Amino acid sequence: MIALLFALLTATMGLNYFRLTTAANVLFFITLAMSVYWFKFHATSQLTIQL
Amino acid sequence: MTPDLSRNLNALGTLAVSLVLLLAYIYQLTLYELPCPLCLLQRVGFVAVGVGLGLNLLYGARPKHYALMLIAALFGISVSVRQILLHIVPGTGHYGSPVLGYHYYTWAAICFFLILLGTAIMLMFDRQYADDTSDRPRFGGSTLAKAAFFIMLGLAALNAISTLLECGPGICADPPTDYKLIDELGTNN
Repeated sequence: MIALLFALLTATMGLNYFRLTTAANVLFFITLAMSVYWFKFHATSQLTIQL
Repeated sequence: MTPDLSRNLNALGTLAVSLVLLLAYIYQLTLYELPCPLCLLQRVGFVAVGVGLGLNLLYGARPKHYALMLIAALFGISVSVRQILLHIVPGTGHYGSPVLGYHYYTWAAICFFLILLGTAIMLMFDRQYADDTSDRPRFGGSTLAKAAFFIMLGLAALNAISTLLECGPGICADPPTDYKLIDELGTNN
């Protein structure tokens, strides 16, 4: 669910604004890990690769 | 490079990344070209770069903030290069309309490359890190930095909403044909 990634990054920016930078950094890397999961999912799915 | 000059350059960088996201939106809405999952993940990469830029705007430049930008740009360029490779063999088609001769994913790869290069260059100037922001207001009192931060924040939130409308709560269709959530809500009513 890619919409969640955008929502989490928005929340990360919000946490940074309120000086909660440690929580924001944790959230940033969780989001990035989820992004890599979805990247692997979509970049290797049969629907994407039509060669 | 003074801390103020660094903040202004970071603000300009944030506005440039915002412009990329805005142009993607304009093409999405005017040409009705829905972004594919890999295209959306490239946008995630741009917003993640915006998180690092936003930290520089809020609290002054730090190597840690630039590191977040580099990691995010590496993710973004990986996705865009992967999509270029999917279409690199002649006769395997493409996704979306070309803009000035290149497709969106090619432009995205070029943009991420420029972000990586620009961030590496910015890291070299030590004097920008002298800004002690512990007792200074957010954005160092810069209106440009404040505007750039909130534009990026707004675009991140807007992307969350538009992606939810396109993909719904589940897995994004590949390739997408319509706004899935709007269709589902329309069918139920």
